[in-house]
Amino acid sequence: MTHVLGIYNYWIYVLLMMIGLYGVIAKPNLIKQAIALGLFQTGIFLYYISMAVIDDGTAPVWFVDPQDPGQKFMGPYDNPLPHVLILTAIVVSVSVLAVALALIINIRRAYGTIEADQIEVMDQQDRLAEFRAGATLDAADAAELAGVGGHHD
Amino acid sequence: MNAVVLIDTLLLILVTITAVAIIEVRNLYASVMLTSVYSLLMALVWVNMHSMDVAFTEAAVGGGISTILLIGTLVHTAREERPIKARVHWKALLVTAVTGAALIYGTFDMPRFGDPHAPIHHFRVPEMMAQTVGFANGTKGKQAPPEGFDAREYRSFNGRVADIPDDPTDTAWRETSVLAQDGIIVPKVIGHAAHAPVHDDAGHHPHPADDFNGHVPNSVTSLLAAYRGYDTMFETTVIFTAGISLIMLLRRPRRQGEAQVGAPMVDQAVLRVVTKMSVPFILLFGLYVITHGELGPGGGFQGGVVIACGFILYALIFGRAALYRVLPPPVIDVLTGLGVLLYSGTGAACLLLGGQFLDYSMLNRLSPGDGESLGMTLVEYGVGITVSMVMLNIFNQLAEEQPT
Amino acid sequence: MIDVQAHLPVLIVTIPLIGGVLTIATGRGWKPWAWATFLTGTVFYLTLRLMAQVLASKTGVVSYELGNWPRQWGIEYRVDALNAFILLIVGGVGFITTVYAKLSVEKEIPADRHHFFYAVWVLALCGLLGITVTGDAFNVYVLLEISSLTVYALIAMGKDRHRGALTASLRYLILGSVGASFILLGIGYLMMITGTLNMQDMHERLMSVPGIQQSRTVLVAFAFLLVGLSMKMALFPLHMWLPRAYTYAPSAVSALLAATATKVGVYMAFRFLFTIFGVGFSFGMMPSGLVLLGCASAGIIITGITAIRQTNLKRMLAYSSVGQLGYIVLGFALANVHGVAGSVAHIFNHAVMKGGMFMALGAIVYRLDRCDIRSVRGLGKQMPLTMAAFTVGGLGLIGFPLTAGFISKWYLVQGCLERPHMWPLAGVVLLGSLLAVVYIWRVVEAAYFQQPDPGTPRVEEAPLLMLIPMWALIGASVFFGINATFTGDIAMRAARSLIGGGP
Repeated sequence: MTHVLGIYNYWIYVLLMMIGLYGVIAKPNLIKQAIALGLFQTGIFLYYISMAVIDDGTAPVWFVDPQDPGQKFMGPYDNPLPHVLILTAIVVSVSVLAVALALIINIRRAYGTIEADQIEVMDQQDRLAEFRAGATLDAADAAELAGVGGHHD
Repeated sequence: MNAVVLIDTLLLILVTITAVAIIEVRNLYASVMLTSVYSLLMALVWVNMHSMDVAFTEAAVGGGISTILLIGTLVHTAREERPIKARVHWKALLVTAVTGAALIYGTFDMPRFGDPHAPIHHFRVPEMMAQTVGFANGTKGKQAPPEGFDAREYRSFNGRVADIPDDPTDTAWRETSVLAQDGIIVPKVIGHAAHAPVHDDAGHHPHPADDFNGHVPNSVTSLLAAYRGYDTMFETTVIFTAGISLIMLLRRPRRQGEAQVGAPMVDQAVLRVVTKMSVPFILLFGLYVITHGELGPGGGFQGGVVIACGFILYALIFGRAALYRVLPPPVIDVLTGLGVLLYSGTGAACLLLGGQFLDYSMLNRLSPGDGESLGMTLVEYGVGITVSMVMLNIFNQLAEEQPT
Repeated sequence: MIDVQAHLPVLIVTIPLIGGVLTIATGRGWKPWAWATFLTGTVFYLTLRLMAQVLASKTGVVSYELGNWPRQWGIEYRVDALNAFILLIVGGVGFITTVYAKLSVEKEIPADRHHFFYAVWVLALCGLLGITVTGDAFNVYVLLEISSLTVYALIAMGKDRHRGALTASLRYLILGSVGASFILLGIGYLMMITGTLNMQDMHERLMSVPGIQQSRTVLVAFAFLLVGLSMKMALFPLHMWLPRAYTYAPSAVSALLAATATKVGVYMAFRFLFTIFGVGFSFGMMPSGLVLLGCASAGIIITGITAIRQTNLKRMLAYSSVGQLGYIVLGFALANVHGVAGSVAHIFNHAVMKGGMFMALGAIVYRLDRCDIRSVRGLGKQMPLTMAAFTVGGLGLIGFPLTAGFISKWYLVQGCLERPHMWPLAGVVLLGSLLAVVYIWRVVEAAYFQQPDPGTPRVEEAPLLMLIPMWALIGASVFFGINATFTGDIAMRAARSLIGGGP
């Protein structure tokens, strides 16, 4: 039981990650997907930073007691390595978000919508038109095509 | 009960509620504002966990830049999400339940939250924390270790307390270990060597003996810019790439004679006056954060974002035409690349001076520790320049579009 | 001035980095392309020298410590026979594709974006090279994000020809970010348990600390790493992003991606499965061998069948690529020397074959503006060299003797037969070849044995600047099919060091 008390906060991070992952898979709106991706990634950052925490620790910046400058550095300090990794990861995550949003603006211009299911329908219409223009069709193929509509990868 | 865990729990409950709200709210503008709130709460969580640099970055980048990006996108896309029929997406729920269960299964063998005996605190990090990595193997070109520094005594500190019982189920020793009371992260030997001067020629004040001559108390910066400086260089490249990609994807060729669009708010007296007074301080603060990153929480990323925010505020109130008089777009483009070149140029300079790539100790032969510190300052500036200019560029791209 | 030989690993990555940033200053016209060609050519030369250095070194490993920090604390570049080979492939194909890109990019991408395009192109190569040369787990993640981000932008540049490029790129972005996040999670778990980020160091800790391999955290780390890597490798069924991305990207980008991006993903899998976790853990303790074999076999067969049904030739080759990746995964999932050697050899062979074939399709797009089975009719007479390149490449896909594809399939079948109960896999390999015969024959038949639609204008052969790189790659596939000592030796050497790496 004490062991569970020690690790239950990891479970909250898992919950946050899963909320984000749910948003990415379930929501058709592209901006929601981009935001949810960010949520998913923040859950992972929580994992990293939580492994850096030490009981009674403090921020990993050295300081000495002004009253007694000769003594050794005060501590214990938290572990700085995960902090460094997450700094990098946060910046990378926002860069990916920026590119995603630029793509979404372009999609809005090209398709007129940012709902993934409507875009999927338009994509399939494009592919059908391309299929018709490019195939060596005979009557049987054409009939099959009329029925095959939405069956793609 | 550990105070950190308690506050952590309260904050995380708020964070979880906000996360669910972000996903479920239909109005996208509300969703974006909640994302900003979410980032602020996360910054508080980081502060609670004593990770100041990360908190600063999350607040600036997550709360500031992400919100600007998202609002800029909303202007060109949509305000509301289309209503969907099914309230709950069962397939997604199944996938997330399975993934979540797998992750929770994996947490059972993790060291508990705050455990000072976790492998990561003992294995390689103590030397990085104490900033004596260059001593550990006697690496050529780095600082020579001081008198009395016994590498053997140092390296025998492999994280095992003498009396750990062999029985893995007997864990009582974790509660009463001598090491837990002694501040284990900074090993004992440092207290002896740290204040012995390396050299005391006239005019040169005695430094503690470490890789950077005591110039870098913030060990997060020492890791970021020196030990793992190569990662940071690529991180700066990622930002640069994002900036270039946005220009490539969004920039429309400017038609001749088209005036700079942008509705300035100069007629709002309060905003105008406050902005005029604040912008110089914001820019100065940003510069301070970049320069001071070695001594306290801060650094290139955080400072760069603050500088960008100063310029963006100016552009919002006085119009982008005014901003382009100060910083024309070609200058912004050039400065974007300049930051990355400054970083990699510092590394290349070290290469040309005879050392390995990014071996800053080559920059100052007489006192390698000072060279290391100089190198770190240079690269932090490189990072700051690129970050601020890319963020400004992204704002300009998003603001320049005709709203649809 | 500097001793190039001593700094080869870092120069291979830094030159494209600095050069890529400088590309935005090159202005208009042919200058960005010329600068990019110069950079990629220099990098190719350096990878050749690095290969020579690795082969000549006593230990077979070239190690470079960045910042002169000892490797356990800093970032280390560690090059052995496997890396050096893949660096050579990426460097070589990168150079040849850049030469090819000039005309293709001029046609497909607006002129005022060229300097940005080539900047992102060179940075993409920098990212791919960086993943291959590093020996530090987190460095792999950062460079993975660079290479992914640049590729998303490159694919999206196909938007002026077809809006599908945008959705393809966004879909790849979302799936790729989820995959990369899983990889980050795995690296975090590993760091939590081992305490270090250097790959060699992690491996030593995983082998030496008692009880660590039974830890549930390590198990979950392995699982999530495998899922994330499968997304990046485009292993069936996580390959959904690949067909659209290859189809709608600009032709030069398709050629580059097909030859390099997924191969580097496979290299990452090699490093994580064989070097960090070790063969004993990855394939002995965990059932990953069976899972990978199952997914790979399903992938080979299902994508082969799907490829046959496609009319758009680029999409057909994209599905074919997923199938060929199935072969590569099949090889290393067998976890024996011949299997892994076949896998490594197929990385090389597929890179040159597919690169060449996509270049041929790009040439067809350059002349015809389209690339489907109908417009290819009669092209055998009008564009003989291009269609010949496509056909020879296709023979390589099938595994015809005297082509490079035959060599790798030979190793793969040997590997299958060496494991007991695995001989049905040899059947899968042959079945995949049969499916390849069908979809290649469709194109060959249309090109050589059918007449073009009446009213379509006559087209010329592809320009020389496209033909030479195309035939350089296809020629390589034939040359290394006839004379397989170089690739065979390197592959066996790499396989032995990978398998022998763990207990």
